[in-house]
Amino acid sequence: MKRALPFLLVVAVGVTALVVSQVRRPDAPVSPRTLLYFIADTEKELSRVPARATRLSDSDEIAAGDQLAAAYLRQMPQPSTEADREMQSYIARIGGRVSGGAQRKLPYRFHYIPDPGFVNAFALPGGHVFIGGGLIRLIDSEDELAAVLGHEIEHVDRYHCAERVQVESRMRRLGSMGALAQLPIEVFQAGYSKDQELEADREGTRIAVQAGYSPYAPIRLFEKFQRLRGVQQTAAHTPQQEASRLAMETLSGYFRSHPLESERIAQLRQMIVANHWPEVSERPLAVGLANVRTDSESGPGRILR
Amino acid sequence: MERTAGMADLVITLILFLLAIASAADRDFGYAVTFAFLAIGLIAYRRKRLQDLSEERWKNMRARLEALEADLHALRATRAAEAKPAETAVTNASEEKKEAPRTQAVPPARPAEPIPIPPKPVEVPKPAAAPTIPPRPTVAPVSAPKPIVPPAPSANPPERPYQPPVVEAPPQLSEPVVARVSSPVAAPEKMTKPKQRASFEEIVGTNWLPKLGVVLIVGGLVSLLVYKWSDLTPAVKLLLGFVSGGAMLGGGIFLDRQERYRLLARSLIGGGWAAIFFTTFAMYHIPATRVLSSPVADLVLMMIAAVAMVAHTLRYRSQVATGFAFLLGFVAVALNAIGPDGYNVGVSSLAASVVLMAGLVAVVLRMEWYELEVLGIVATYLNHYYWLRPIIEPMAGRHHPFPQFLASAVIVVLYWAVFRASYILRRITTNDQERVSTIAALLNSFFLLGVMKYQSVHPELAFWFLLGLGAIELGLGLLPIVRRRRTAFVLLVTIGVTLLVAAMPFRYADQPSRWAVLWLVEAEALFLAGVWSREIVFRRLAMLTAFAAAFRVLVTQQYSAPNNAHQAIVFGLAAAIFYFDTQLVPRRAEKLVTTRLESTSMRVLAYVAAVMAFAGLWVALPDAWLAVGWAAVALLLAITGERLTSFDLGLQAHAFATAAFLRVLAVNLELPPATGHLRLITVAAVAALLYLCAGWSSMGQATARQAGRALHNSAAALLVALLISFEAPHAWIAPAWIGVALVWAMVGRRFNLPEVSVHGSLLAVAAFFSLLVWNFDLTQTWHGVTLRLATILLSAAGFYLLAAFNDLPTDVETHRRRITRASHTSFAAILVTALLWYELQPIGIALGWMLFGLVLFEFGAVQRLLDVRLEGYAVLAASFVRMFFANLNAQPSPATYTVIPLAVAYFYVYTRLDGADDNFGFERALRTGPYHAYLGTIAVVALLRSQAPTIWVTAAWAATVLALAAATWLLHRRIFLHQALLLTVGISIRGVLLDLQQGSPQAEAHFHPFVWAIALLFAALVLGFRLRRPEAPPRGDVLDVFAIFDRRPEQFFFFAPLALLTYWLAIELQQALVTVAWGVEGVVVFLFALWVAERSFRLAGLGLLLLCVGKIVVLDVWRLQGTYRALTFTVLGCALLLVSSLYVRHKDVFRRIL
Repeated sequence: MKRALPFLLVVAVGVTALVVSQVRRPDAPVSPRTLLYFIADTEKELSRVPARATRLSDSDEIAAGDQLAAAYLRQMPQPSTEADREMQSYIARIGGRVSGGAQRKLPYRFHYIPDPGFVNAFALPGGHVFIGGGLIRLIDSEDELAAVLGHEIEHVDRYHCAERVQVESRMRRLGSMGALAQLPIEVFQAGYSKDQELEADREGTRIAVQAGYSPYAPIRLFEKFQRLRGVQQTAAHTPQQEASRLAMETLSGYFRSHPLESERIAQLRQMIVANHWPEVSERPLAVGLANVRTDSESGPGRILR
Repeated sequence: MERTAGMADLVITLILFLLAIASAADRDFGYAVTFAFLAIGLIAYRRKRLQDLSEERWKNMRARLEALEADLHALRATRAAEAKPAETAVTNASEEKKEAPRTQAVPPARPAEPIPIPPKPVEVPKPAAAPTIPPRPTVAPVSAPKPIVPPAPSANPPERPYQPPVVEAPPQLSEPVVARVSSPVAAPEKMTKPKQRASFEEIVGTNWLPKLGVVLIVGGLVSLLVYKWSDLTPAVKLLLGFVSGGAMLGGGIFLDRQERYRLLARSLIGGGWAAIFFTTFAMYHIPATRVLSSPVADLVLMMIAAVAMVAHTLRYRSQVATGFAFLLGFVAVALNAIGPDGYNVGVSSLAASVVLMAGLVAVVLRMEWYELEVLGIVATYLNHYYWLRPIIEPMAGRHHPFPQFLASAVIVVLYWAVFRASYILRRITTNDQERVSTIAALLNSFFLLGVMKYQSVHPELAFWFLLGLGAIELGLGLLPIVRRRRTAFVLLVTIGVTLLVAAMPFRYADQPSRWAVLWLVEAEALFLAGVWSREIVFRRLAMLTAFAAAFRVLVTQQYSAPNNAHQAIVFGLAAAIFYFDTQLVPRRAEKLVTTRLESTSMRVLAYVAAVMAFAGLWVALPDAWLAVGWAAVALLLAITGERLTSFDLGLQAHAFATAAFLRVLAVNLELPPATGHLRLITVAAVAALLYLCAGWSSMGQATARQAGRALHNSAAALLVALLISFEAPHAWIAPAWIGVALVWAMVGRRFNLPEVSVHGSLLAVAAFFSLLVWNFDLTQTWHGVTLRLATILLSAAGFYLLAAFNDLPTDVETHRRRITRASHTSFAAILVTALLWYELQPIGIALGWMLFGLVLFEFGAVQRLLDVRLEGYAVLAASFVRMFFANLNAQPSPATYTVIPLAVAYFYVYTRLDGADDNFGFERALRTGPYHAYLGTIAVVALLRSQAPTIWVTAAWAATVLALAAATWLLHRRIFLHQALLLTVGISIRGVLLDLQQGSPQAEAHFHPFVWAIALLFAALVLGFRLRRPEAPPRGDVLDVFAIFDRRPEQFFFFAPLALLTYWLAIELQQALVTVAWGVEGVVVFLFALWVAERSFRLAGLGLLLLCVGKIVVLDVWRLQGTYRALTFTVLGCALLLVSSLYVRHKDVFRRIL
């Protein structure tokens, strides 16, 4: 009995936890994200000091960003209609307002990609921020747009983009500045580590609030993403299916790891409480979206890189 | 033998010549020429054959002569050696002693005196063609050897014109003849060739030429008589014929008195009688010479001529001449049987044939000329056939009764009776006579049956005729007079039995079953007679009859018509009879079977019996029950074979079992559902019978018996498995298989049957894969639970029971038993693990696996089952991995209450493995316990890493370090200390690279969370002091560097937070306050070092102060302005003074602890 008691206690604890989990059915998506966070964050942490020691100057970063943006814009459709151009200017206006709170004073430029299938937003070093027509279709208010732009601005402001240029150029052995334009744009679209994403969420919301926007806008946006992800994600039916899905996600999702929306929301709520941010009524988008269609096949997992 | 062959050739030759003559008489010259050429060819062949035999005999004789010469030389040498000492003994006795040995050793080449030649030389047979052989000296008997006695000259001259001399084998010389000296001159070689040439010339000159001449003369006479020469009247022609024949006969008789002309004389005698006989024949039958109007008269004359001819030739005791005479007599009868116009002249002509036949038999018996009887049989029956032809041929195959039928039948039977009586009553003195008699007996039966068949007009009587004739032949064979002659007995019995067997088809051709049964009855009667009388002939005939009956049964039955009881009875009867004869009777009658042939026949018949039984069941049973029947017979054969120790029955049992098995696979398993439970019943019955067969497998040696038993058991096992797969509901197939496997395992263990246990294991493997493929998709409910849960849980339980009961018999090696048990438990573990995945929520799967792994581990520990414990470790490891992919992705609360139990379980396993239990030697060797301790700690650390706010992760980890240090202190387990040290390293790295690198601390945090981490690490320093053990001996290897921290953990717990604090102060404080802060820090460290009396700490404090001095000199004095510069200098100065005063005050203490 002396030996059995600890065993029974451990089993009792386990059974209790199991029963609770079966009854409550908490959401626990099966994915390799935890491991990927760990790997990506570790890589980031290990490269942080060397990156800081060899950090690009702002002028070099701006030059590299200009090359990358020019090459990317040549491949993508440009705003051709009046509505697109109006949306382009509207985004630039909101972005300029939000970027005023950034620590680094860079020439932030905002680009609208009028592709309804492009449900994404990303930033390039030096201050170029891109947002797709598909993502605009999901946004309900100017505050949400400001949150998205603030998030991307902080990726630039916190050297996330610049450090990625540094890491990728070292890995690809790109020597000169001119060669940096050879970096594929997917490197920046793929997203960053969990800590970097959370940092971009945190600081982007902060500058958006400073610009007068609601801190609840990003929360509502993340809740929207969470609902969409729940619709798209289906549970595996067999262990083999789950294992293969995990393997594929592990192999393909190394740079596509994002924190759970719940975690991002929790961080923002914690900031709201700590900073005593008031609830501000959100402003609707000032530009219509009649010409923007939604590609239902595009998932929210690629949003806000 | 050669003599018999020569006689046969002669008879055939004569027949051919007669046929040629008859054909020529009928103006059918094509046939005449053909027969003539055939006759000449046969003669030439015969001559050549005789020549070859002659050469072969000459070679043998030459070899014998050489041997004789050698023996002769040796004898001469011996005699010379003996004679010489006798001559010299008188003169010099002393020399005798000296030369005697030499004389013996080297005999003189030639004797001093000629050897006396015996007075009577070897006589050579008379024919001139015989080679001249030098006189054969007869050596006087020296000691044991007897003189060579030449063969006595025959009283009768040899019939054959050329008879090479036969030399008897030389006598066996005794010891004095020490060696054979080869002949100095190869005399035999030189004389062989000329003599061969001379003999051929002599053959032609003395043998062929006179015969040819006589034949030509007779031919010329026939031509004279046949053609209607207008110059000669028939009477003149006949006169010329009789005169010519008489002249030839007289000349022959005259010349026969002289030996050298004897061959010519005999030819003339034969030709003379032939001419007389033909002339008599021509008196009625040749139109050109017809002088008689009555065929009877002509027949009487021809018979007189023939009788005279026979009587005359008997004087010469020549079988050839007498046979030729009889031949002419038969020819006469044949020629008289048909009138000149080609019609049959009636039965009366056959009377002469009967007389001739009787006379011939009398001569044969008296003179023992049995070859002549062969001629007589052929001639008699052919004569009758020739007589029948004008009657039968016009019927054109549609035989109908004719007036002469009865008489003809009686006469033919009379022929047979007389010849058979001759065969029975004759006296046999040589083997050749027996062989010739056998030919005669066979020809007698053959021609009887042939002629009877030819004249048959009542086919319905054939059965009774054959039956009666067979019975008579059999009865004759059993007569005592016949039984004295083994060959005659065998022959007559064989003929009789053959006729008895052959009779059946004539009556029962349209009743195959009755026909076969009667043959079976005959076979059995013969066999029992053979057993009762111990007569092998009967048994062999019985075997042949049985094989014929079996063949008859097999080829005539209608196999496509099942359920035929009539046919089945026939098959069954045959099988029963054959098995009785081959298996039971030989065992009751001792030493019955003595020959290899009979033994082999018995064995073959036993297999025929098996075929009968096989086919009988085929026609008797319905399709579904056929396999059962075969399996039942297999069991019966197996039991009988085991009782009788019969290899054949055992093999047949295997064959039947195989057939039943294949039949089940091909038919029974595919029975349609409309047949109800027929498949279940029949397949189960076959499987049961196969199992029973395995118990009586008796074929061959022990290894073969074991293999046979295993095969039966395997077949039955496969059937059972397949039956379950066909009969059981889809979801319950695998559980049923496992249940059966469990039964097999228990049976195999109880009755020490390794193969049955193996079947259980194999079926369990099949069940396992079936469960994997099918049962996990079953979502239907069964009594409130899913079929998946019910079936897999049941199966898993079955696997564990299998592992418990499937302890193979003790003669199986331990390694194999262990693998079998491990495979079963592994299957169960895999099934339960997979089942938990299906049945639990994603976040609960790791918990389920943990609990299951924990149970496996504990069960394996209690039961001392390493395999089960290993499975437990695997499942626990799976839960650990699963945690990263699901639990840590959940919200903090569920993640916490699901991960913490996992960590607790891992720690529990660690404590069990690291305890005092001696059952974990394997785990200790692999350090399994520490691994689980690390799993637990990693689970906690990962939980904190994923669930705590980013900036609080380091602090949480520091708290973990403190907890681990406390655990080390409380539990006395250094592994937690090691984990704490490693985690401290992680905290340091994360703190430096992440926490302290964040751009701006959150404004909402009143105090940087990283400070809590530093504080907690410093708190761990307290425990570090308690955990240090500097007296521990060093490891003495590379890891000694790390062992330092194990001995002095307080160093690590002090310097790590100190470095972090220093770095944090440098980052967080303004440039001016950094030096002040570091100075205060240095003083505090110094004071703390004094308190704990730790020199390294004190040096660290001093180092910090000196760092401050250096910083002031290098940086602050140039950069700081105003208040900050003053404050910095003041504070640092005070600090230095304080430290200095402490040094002065506690100088003795410092000296002691330095």
